[in-house]
Amino acid sequence: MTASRLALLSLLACSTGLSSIPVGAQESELFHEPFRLRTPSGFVEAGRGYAAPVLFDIDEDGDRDLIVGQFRSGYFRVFRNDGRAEEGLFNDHVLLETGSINLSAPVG
Amino acid sequence: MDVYGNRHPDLFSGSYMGESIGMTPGYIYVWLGQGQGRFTEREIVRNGAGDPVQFSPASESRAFATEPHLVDWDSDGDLDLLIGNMTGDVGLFVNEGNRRQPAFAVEPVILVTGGQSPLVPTDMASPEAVDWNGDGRLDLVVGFEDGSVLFFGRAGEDGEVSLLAAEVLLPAPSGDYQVIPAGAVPWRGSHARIHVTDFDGDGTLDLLVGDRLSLMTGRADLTEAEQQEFAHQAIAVRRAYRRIRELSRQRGELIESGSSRGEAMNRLMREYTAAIREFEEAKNAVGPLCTGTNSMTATGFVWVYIRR
Repeated sequence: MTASRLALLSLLACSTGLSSIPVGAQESELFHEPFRLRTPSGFVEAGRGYAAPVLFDIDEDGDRDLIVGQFRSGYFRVFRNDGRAEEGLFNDHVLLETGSINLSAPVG
Repeated sequence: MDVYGNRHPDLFSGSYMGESIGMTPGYIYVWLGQGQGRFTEREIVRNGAGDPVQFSPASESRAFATEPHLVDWDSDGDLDLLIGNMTGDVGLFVNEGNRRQPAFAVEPVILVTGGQSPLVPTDMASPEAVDWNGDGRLDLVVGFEDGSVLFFGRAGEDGEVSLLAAEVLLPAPSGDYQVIPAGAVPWRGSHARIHVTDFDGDGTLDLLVGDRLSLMTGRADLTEAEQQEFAHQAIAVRRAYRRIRELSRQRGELIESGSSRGEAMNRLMREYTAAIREFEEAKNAVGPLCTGTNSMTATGFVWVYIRR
Protein backbone atom coordinates (compact mmCIF):
# COMPACT_ATOMS: atom_id res chain seq x y z
CA MET A 1 0.00 0.00 0.00
CA THR A 2 1.41 3.37 -0.99
CA ALA A 3 1.99 6.13 1.54
CA SER A 4 -0.66 8.28 -0.12
CA ARG A 5 -3.26 5.54 0.02
CA LEU A 6 -2.47 4.87 3.67
CA ALA A 7 -2.88 8.57 4.38
CA LEU A 8 -6.22 8.51 2.58
CA LEU A 9 -7.44 5.62 4.73
CA SER A 10 -6.31 7.39 7.90
CA LEU A 11 -8.07 10.58 6.88
CA LEU A 12 -11.30 8.68 6.27
CA ALA A 13 -11.00 6.80 9.55
CA CYS A 14 -10.34 9.82 11.75
CA SER A 15 -12.64 12.33 10.12
CA THR A 16 -15.77 10.23 10.06
CA GLY A 17 -15.48 8.53 13.44
CA LEU A 18 -14.67 5.29 11.72
CA SER A 19 -11.85 4.84 14.20
CA SER A 20 -14.44 3.37 16.55
CA ILE A 21 -14.42 0.30 14.30
CA PRO A 22 -11.35 0.74 12.09
CA VAL A 23 -11.18 -1.13 8.82
CA GLY A 24 -9.86 -4.61 9.46
CA ALA A 25 -9.92 -4.37 13.26
CA GLN A 26 -11.65 -6.74 15.63
CA GLU A 27 -15.15 -5.88 16.80
CA SER A 28 -15.05 -8.07 19.89
CA GLU A 29 -12.48 -9.66 22.16
CA LEU A 30 -14.59 -12.83 22.13
CA PHE A 31 -13.59 -13.65 18.58
CA HIS A 32 -10.57 -13.67 16.33
CA GLU A 33 -10.48 -11.09 13.55
CA PRO A 34 -13.43 -11.81 11.24
CA PHE A 35 -13.09 -12.77 7.61
CA ARG A 36 -15.45 -13.00 4.68
CA LEU A 37 -16.19 -16.31 3.00
CA ARG A 38 -14.78 -16.47 -0.51
CA THR A 39 -15.21 -18.21 -3.84
CA PRO A 40 -12.77 -18.54 -6.76
CA SER A 41 -14.51 -15.50 -8.31
CA GLY A 42 -14.37 -13.26 -5.26
CA PHE A 43 -16.49 -13.20 -2.15
CA VAL A 44 -19.64 -15.04 -1.16
CA GLU A 45 -22.34 -12.45 -1.80
CA ALA A 46 -26.12 -12.21 -1.69
CA GLY A 47 -28.04 -10.34 -4.39
CA ARG A 48 -29.22 -6.98 -2.94
CA GLY A 49 -27.98 -8.03 0.45
CA TYR A 50 -29.66 -9.40 3.56
CA ALA A 51 -27.45 -12.49 3.31
CA ALA A 52 -28.83 -15.30 5.47
CA PRO A 53 -26.28 -18.12 5.72
CA VAL A 54 -26.48 -21.71 6.89
CA LEU A 55 -23.98 -24.57 6.63
CA PHE A 56 -25.57 -27.83 5.52
CA ASP A 57 -24.45 -30.94 3.57
CA ILE A 58 -26.93 -30.46 0.74
CA ASP A 59 -25.24 -32.87 -1.69
CA GLU A 60 -24.74 -35.53 0.98
CA ASP A 61 -21.05 -35.97 0.26
CA GLY A 62 -19.97 -35.75 3.87
CA ASP A 63 -18.98 -32.12 4.13
CA ARG A 64 -21.02 -29.00 4.80
CA ASP A 65 -21.95 -26.72 1.96
CA LEU A 66 -23.04 -23.09 2.32
CA ILE A 67 -26.58 -22.00 1.53
CA VAL A 68 -27.30 -18.26 1.52
CA GLY A 69 -30.73 -16.72 1.32
CA GLN A 70 -30.94 -13.29 -0.29
CA PHE A 71 -33.37 -10.43 -0.79
CA ARG A 72 -33.22 -10.35 -4.61
CA SER A 73 -36.16 -12.51 -5.70
CA GLY A 74 -35.91 -14.50 -2.48
CA TYR A 75 -33.57 -17.03 -4.06
CA PHE A 76 -31.18 -19.36 -2.28
CA ARG A 77 -27.57 -19.50 -3.41
CA VAL A 78 -25.74 -22.81 -2.94
CA PHE A 79 -21.96 -22.64 -2.58
CA ARG A 80 -20.66 -26.21 -2.61
CA ASN A 81 -17.76 -27.31 -0.45
CA ASP A 82 -14.96 -29.05 -2.33
CA GLY A 83 -12.81 -29.52 0.73
CA ARG A 84 -11.52 -26.02 1.42
CA ALA A 85 -14.32 -24.68 3.62
CA GLU A 86 -12.09 -24.40 6.68
CA GLU A 87 -9.96 -21.98 4.65
CA GLY A 88 -13.15 -19.99 4.05
CA LEU A 89 -13.34 -21.02 0.39
CA PHE A 90 -16.41 -22.45 -1.36
CA ASN A 91 -17.28 -23.01 -5.03
CA ASP A 92 -19.04 -20.33 -7.04
CA HIS A 93 -22.74 -20.46 -6.46
CA VAL A 94 -25.68 -22.03 -8.23
CA LEU A 95 -29.28 -21.25 -7.42
CA LEU A 96 -31.20 -23.87 -5.49
CA GLU A 97 -33.96 -25.22 -7.68
CA THR A 98 -36.65 -27.87 -7.90
CA GLY A 99 -37.12 -29.17 -11.41
CA SER A 100 -36.54 -26.13 -13.57
CA ILE A 101 -37.80 -23.64 -10.98
CA ASN A 102 -35.55 -21.71 -8.63
CA LEU A 103 -36.63 -22.02 -5.01
CA SER A 104 -37.63 -18.67 -3.62
CA ALA A 105 -39.38 -17.09 -0.67
CA PRO A 106 -41.65 -14.08 -1.21
CA VAL A 107 -40.07 -10.70 -0.69
CA GLY A 108 -43.26 -8.74 -1.38
CA MET B 1 -33.36 -31.16 9.67
CA ASP B 2 -36.15 -33.62 8.90
CA VAL B 3 -39.27 -32.11 10.43
CA TYR B 4 -42.07 -33.95 8.67
CA GLY B 5 -40.77 -37.49 8.86
CA ASN B 6 -39.79 -37.97 5.23
CA ARG B 7 -36.26 -39.01 6.27
CA HIS B 8 -34.56 -36.17 4.44
CA PRO B 9 -33.71 -32.73 5.80
CA ASP B 10 -36.26 -30.07 4.90
CA LEU B 11 -35.61 -26.42 4.06
CA PHE B 12 -37.41 -23.69 6.00
CA SER B 13 -37.50 -19.99 5.32
CA GLY B 14 -39.29 -16.96 6.56
CA SER B 15 -40.33 -14.17 4.24
CA TYR B 16 -40.47 -10.41 4.22
CA MET B 17 -44.03 -10.25 3.03
CA GLY B 18 -46.37 -12.83 1.60
CA GLU B 19 -47.81 -13.94 -1.68
CA SER B 20 -49.39 -10.53 -2.16
CA ILE B 21 -48.36 -7.28 -0.53
CA GLY B 22 -50.61 -6.36 2.38
CA MET B 23 -52.50 -9.64 2.32
CA THR B 24 -50.36 -12.45 3.67
CA PRO B 25 -47.31 -11.12 5.48
CA GLY B 26 -44.36 -13.04 6.75
CA TYR B 27 -45.43 -16.63 6.21
CA ILE B 28 -43.03 -19.47 7.00
CA TYR B 29 -42.32 -21.73 4.06
CA VAL B 30 -41.03 -25.30 3.78
CA TRP B 31 -39.55 -27.26 0.93
CA LEU B 32 -39.64 -30.96 1.82
CA GLY B 33 -36.35 -32.73 1.27
CA GLN B 34 -36.09 -35.55 -1.26
CA GLY B 35 -32.39 -36.28 -0.86
CA GLN B 36 -29.37 -35.35 -2.96
CA GLY B 37 -30.18 -31.66 -2.79
CA ARG B 38 -33.66 -32.05 -4.27
CA PHE B 39 -36.77 -30.51 -2.74
CA THR B 40 -40.51 -30.37 -3.36
CA GLU B 41 -42.47 -27.26 -4.31
CA ARG B 42 -42.85 -24.55 -1.67
CA GLU B 43 -45.56 -25.04 0.98
CA ILE B 44 -46.81 -22.75 3.72
CA VAL B 45 -46.12 -23.98 7.24
CA ARG B 46 -49.41 -24.29 9.08
CA ASN B 47 -50.42 -24.42 12.71
CA GLY B 48 -52.49 -27.06 14.44
CA ALA B 49 -55.69 -25.34 13.29
CA GLY B 50 -54.63 -25.58 9.65
CA ASP B 51 -53.93 -21.87 9.24
CA PRO B 52 -50.57 -20.32 8.27
CA VAL B 53 -48.24 -19.84 11.19
CA GLN B 54 -47.92 -16.10 11.79
CA PHE B 55 -47.89 -13.40 14.40
CA SER B 56 -51.23 -11.69 14.80
CA PRO B 57 -52.79 -9.47 13.83
CA ALA B 58 -51.43 -10.19 10.37
CA SER B 59 -51.99 -6.61 9.27
CA GLU B 60 -49.35 -5.20 11.61
CA SER B 61 -45.63 -4.94 10.95
CA ARG B 62 -44.86 -7.45 13.69
CA ALA B 63 -46.00 -10.18 11.28
CA PHE B 64 -43.44 -9.20 8.61
CA ALA B 65 -39.80 -10.12 7.93
CA THR B 66 -39.89 -13.46 9.67
CA GLU B 67 -36.98 -15.78 10.30
CA PRO B 68 -37.67 -19.26 11.67
CA HIS B 69 -35.54 -21.59 13.78
CA LEU B 70 -36.67 -25.08 14.73
CA VAL B 71 -35.53 -26.37 18.11
CA ASP B 72 -36.83 -28.45 20.99
CA TRP B 73 -37.21 -25.45 23.31
CA ASP B 74 -39.23 -27.23 26.00
CA SER B 75 -37.23 -30.50 25.93
CA ASP B 76 -40.27 -32.68 25.24
CA GLY B 77 -38.77 -34.52 22.27
CA ASP B 78 -40.35 -32.60 19.39
CA LEU B 79 -39.34 -29.50 17.46
CA ASP B 80 -40.84 -26.15 18.34
CA LEU B 81 -40.76 -23.09 16.10
CA LEU B 82 -38.95 -19.92 17.12
CA ILE B 83 -39.63 -16.98 14.83
CA GLY B 84 -37.94 -13.58 14.78
CA ASN B 85 -39.90 -10.73 13.24
CA MET B 86 -39.80 -7.16 11.95
CA THR B 87 -40.30 -5.51 15.33
CA GLY B 88 -37.46 -7.40 17.01
CA ASP B 89 -39.65 -9.90 18.85
CA VAL B 90 -38.84 -13.59 19.08
CA GLY B 91 -41.96 -15.71 19.38
CA LEU B 92 -42.20 -19.35 20.40
CA PHE B 93 -44.83 -21.41 18.59
CA VAL B 94 -44.92 -24.54 20.74
CA ASN B 95 -45.28 -27.85 18.92
CA GLU B 96 -48.44 -29.35 20.36
CA GLY B 97 -48.15 -32.42 18.14
CA ASN B 98 -45.17 -34.72 17.99
CA ARG B 99 -41.82 -35.25 16.29
CA ARG B 100 -43.26 -36.60 13.03
CA GLN B 101 -46.55 -34.72 12.88
CA PRO B 102 -45.92 -31.23 14.21
CA ALA B 103 -48.89 -29.08 15.22
CA PHE B 104 -47.64 -25.60 16.00
CA ALA B 105 -49.61 -23.40 18.40
CA VAL B 106 -51.93 -20.79 16.94
CA GLU B 107 -50.57 -18.01 19.15
CA PRO B 108 -46.91 -17.49 20.00
CA VAL B 109 -45.46 -16.94 23.42
CA ILE B 110 -43.20 -13.95 23.14
CA LEU B 111 -39.74 -14.34 24.67
CA VAL B 112 -39.02 -11.63 27.21
CA THR B 113 -36.08 -10.29 29.13
CA GLY B 114 -36.81 -8.52 32.38
CA GLY B 115 -40.46 -9.14 31.65
CA GLN B 116 -40.36 -6.98 28.56
CA SER B 117 -40.45 -7.43 24.79
CA PRO B 118 -39.04 -6.83 22.32
CA LEU B 119 -35.79 -8.08 23.70
CA VAL B 120 -33.97 -4.89 22.73
CA PRO B 121 -35.20 -1.64 21.08
CA THR B 122 -34.16 -2.55 17.55
CA ASP B 123 -35.76 -4.46 14.71
CA MET B 124 -35.60 -7.58 12.56
CA ALA B 125 -34.65 -10.40 14.87
CA SER B 126 -32.67 -13.37 13.51
CA PRO B 127 -32.73 -15.97 16.32
CA GLU B 128 -31.00 -19.29 17.00
CA ALA B 129 -31.37 -21.35 20.15
CA VAL B 130 -28.05 -22.99 21.07
CA ASP B 131 -26.12 -23.78 24.24
CA TRP B 132 -23.76 -20.83 23.80
CA ASN B 133 -22.35 -20.80 27.33
CA GLY B 134 -21.97 -24.57 27.71
CA ASP B 135 -24.22 -24.95 30.75
CA GLY B 136 -26.29 -27.70 29.18
CA ARG B 137 -29.31 -25.48 28.48
CA LEU B 138 -30.44 -23.80 25.30
CA ASP B 139 -29.75 -20.07 25.17
CA LEU B 140 -30.78 -17.55 22.55
CA VAL B 141 -28.39 -15.81 20.16
CA VAL B 142 -30.01 -13.11 18.02
CA GLY B 143 -28.88 -10.86 15.19
CA PHE B 144 -30.67 -7.54 14.69
CA GLU B 145 -31.25 -4.87 12.06
CA ASP B 146 -28.55 -2.56 13.48
CA GLY B 147 -26.01 -5.36 12.93
CA SER B 148 -25.58 -6.23 16.59
CA VAL B 149 -25.52 -9.86 17.74
CA LEU B 150 -26.66 -10.46 21.32
CA PHE B 151 -26.67 -13.43 23.68
CA PHE B 152 -29.54 -14.07 26.10
CA GLY B 153 -29.04 -16.76 28.72
CA ARG B 154 -31.99 -18.88 29.89
CA ALA B 155 -33.79 -17.93 33.04
CA GLY B 156 -36.28 -20.22 34.69
CA GLU B 157 -37.13 -23.78 33.79
CA ASP B 158 -37.27 -25.53 30.41
CA GLY B 159 -40.22 -24.33 28.38
CA GLU B 160 -40.33 -20.95 30.06
CA VAL B 161 -39.71 -17.90 27.95
CA SER B 162 -37.83 -15.67 30.39
CA LEU B 163 -34.33 -14.72 29.38
CA LEU B 164 -31.50 -13.01 31.19
CA ALA B 165 -30.33 -9.54 30.17
CA ALA B 166 -28.57 -9.26 26.85
CA GLU B 167 -24.82 -9.66 26.55
CA VAL B 168 -23.17 -8.19 23.49
CA LEU B 169 -21.37 -10.70 21.28
CA LEU B 170 -20.93 -8.24 18.40
CA PRO B 171 -21.70 -4.51 18.66
CA ALA B 172 -23.63 -2.67 15.98
CA PRO B 173 -21.24 -1.65 13.16
CA SER B 174 -20.87 1.89 11.86
CA GLY B 175 -23.54 1.71 9.19
CA ASP B 176 -24.25 0.08 5.90
CA TYR B 177 -23.54 2.87 3.38
CA GLN B 178 -19.82 2.69 2.70
CA VAL B 179 -17.50 4.60 0.38
CA ILE B 180 -14.08 2.98 0.55
CA PRO B 181 -10.80 3.46 -1.33
CA ALA B 182 -9.45 0.83 -3.70
CA GLY B 183 -7.89 -2.02 -1.80
CA ALA B 184 -9.72 -1.31 1.45
CA VAL B 185 -11.82 -3.93 3.22
CA PRO B 186 -15.38 -2.91 3.99
CA TRP B 187 -16.59 -3.25 7.53
CA ARG B 188 -19.54 -5.44 8.35
CA GLY B 189 -22.89 -3.93 7.46
CA SER B 190 -26.30 -4.03 9.08
CA HIS B 191 -29.12 -6.60 9.25
CA ALA B 192 -27.22 -9.38 11.00
CA ARG B 193 -28.60 -12.78 9.89
CA ILE B 194 -26.84 -15.38 12.00
CA HIS B 195 -25.90 -19.05 11.94
CA VAL B 196 -24.28 -20.48 15.06
CA THR B 197 -22.01 -23.43 14.30
CA ASP B 198 -18.60 -24.91 15.05
CA PHE B 199 -16.95 -23.61 11.88
CA ASP B 200 -13.39 -24.72 12.55
CA GLY B 201 -14.14 -28.02 14.27
CA ASP B 202 -12.49 -27.14 17.58
CA GLY B 203 -15.52 -28.02 19.67
CA THR B 204 -16.64 -24.45 20.36
CA LEU B 205 -19.47 -22.60 18.68
CA ASP B 206 -18.59 -19.84 16.23
CA LEU B 207 -20.72 -17.29 14.37
CA LEU B 208 -21.55 -16.86 10.71
CA VAL B 209 -23.11 -13.44 10.15
CA GLY B 210 -24.71 -12.33 6.91
CA ASP B 211 -25.12 -8.61 6.37
CA ARG B 212 -26.41 -5.90 4.12
CA LEU B 213 -24.43 -2.93 2.84
CA SER B 214 -24.34 -0.45 0.01
CA LEU B 215 -20.85 -0.04 -1.33
CA MET B 216 -18.95 2.38 -3.56
CA THR B 217 -15.26 1.62 -4.15
CA GLY B 218 -12.75 4.21 -5.32
CA ARG B 219 -10.79 3.63 -8.52
CA ALA B 220 -7.21 2.47 -8.18
CA ASP B 221 -5.91 5.01 -10.70
CA LEU B 222 -6.86 8.23 -8.89
CA THR B 223 -4.37 11.10 -8.91
CA GLU B 224 -3.31 12.72 -5.63
CA ALA B 225 -5.82 15.51 -6.18
CA GLU B 226 -8.58 13.01 -6.99
CA GLN B 227 -7.74 11.01 -3.86
CA GLN B 228 -8.19 14.12 -1.73
CA GLU B 229 -11.49 14.87 -3.45
CA PHE B 230 -12.54 11.24 -2.95
CA ALA B 231 -11.80 11.46 0.77
CA HIS B 232 -13.69 14.74 1.06
CA GLN B 233 -16.80 13.42 -0.67
CA ALA B 234 -16.66 10.06 1.14
CA ILE B 235 -16.71 11.93 4.44
CA ALA B 236 -19.65 14.00 3.19
CA VAL B 237 -21.56 10.83 2.28
CA ARG B 238 -20.93 9.35 5.72
CA ARG B 239 -21.96 12.47 7.60
CA ALA B 240 -25.13 12.91 5.55
CA TYR B 241 -26.05 9.26 6.04
CA ARG B 242 -25.56 9.48 9.80
CA ARG B 243 -27.73 12.62 9.85
CA ILE B 244 -30.45 10.80 7.92
CA ARG B 245 -30.38 7.91 10.40
CA GLU B 246 -30.56 10.26 13.39
CA LEU B 247 -33.48 12.19 11.89
CA SER B 248 -35.27 8.92 11.09
CA ARG B 249 -34.88 7.91 14.71
CA GLN B 250 -36.25 11.25 15.89
CA ARG B 251 -39.17 10.95 13.47
CA GLY B 252 -40.01 7.56 14.91
CA GLU B 253 -39.98 8.99 18.44
CA LEU B 254 -42.29 11.82 17.44
CA ILE B 255 -44.73 9.39 15.87
CA GLU B 256 -44.71 7.12 18.91
CA SER B 257 -45.34 10.09 21.17
CA GLY B 258 -48.40 11.03 19.12
CA SER B 259 -46.77 14.06 17.54
CA SER B 260 -46.91 13.02 13.90
CA ARG B 261 -48.25 16.48 12.97
CA GLY B 262 -47.23 19.95 14.07
CA GLU B 263 -44.30 22.27 13.87
CA ALA B 264 -41.78 19.84 15.38
CA MET B 265 -42.49 17.25 12.69
CA ASN B 266 -42.54 19.89 9.95
CA ARG B 267 -39.15 21.18 11.07
CA LEU B 268 -37.75 17.67 11.26
CA MET B 269 -38.97 16.79 7.79
CA ARG B 270 -37.34 19.93 6.37
CA GLU B 271 -34.06 18.84 7.92
CA TYR B 272 -34.58 15.32 6.62
CA THR B 273 -35.15 16.57 3.09
CA ALA B 274 -32.00 18.67 3.30
CA ALA B 275 -29.98 15.67 4.55
CA ILE B 276 -31.25 13.51 1.70
CA ARG B 277 -30.24 16.21 -0.77
CA GLU B 278 -26.75 16.45 0.75
CA PHE B 279 -26.42 12.67 0.64
CA GLU B 280 -27.36 12.48 -3.02
CA GLU B 281 -25.08 15.39 -3.93
CA ALA B 282 -22.12 13.76 -2.19
CA LYS B 283 -22.82 10.41 -3.87
CA ASN B 284 -23.04 12.08 -7.27
CA ALA B 285 -19.77 13.94 -6.63
CA VAL B 286 -17.83 10.84 -5.58
CA GLY B 287 -19.39 8.60 -8.21
CA PRO B 288 -17.02 9.41 -11.09
CA LEU B 289 -14.10 8.60 -8.79
CA CYS B 290 -15.44 5.09 -8.17
CA THR B 291 -15.51 1.84 -10.05
CA GLY B 292 -18.62 0.44 -11.68
CA THR B 293 -21.71 2.44 -12.50
CA ASN B 294 -21.02 5.38 -10.15
CA SER B 295 -23.84 4.29 -7.87
CA MET B 296 -23.98 2.32 -4.67
CA THR B 297 -24.18 -1.42 -5.08
CA ALA B 298 -26.36 -3.18 -2.52
CA THR B 299 -24.88 -6.48 -1.49
CA GLY B 300 -24.41 -8.81 1.47
CA PHE B 301 -21.39 -10.77 2.61
CA VAL B 302 -21.00 -13.69 5.01
CA TRP B 303 -18.59 -12.98 7.85
CA VAL B 304 -17.03 -15.68 10.01
CA TYR B 305 -16.26 -15.02 13.68
CA ILE B 306 -14.14 -17.78 15.20
CA ARG B 307 -14.46 -17.92 18.97
CA ARG B 308 -11.27 -17.48 20.98
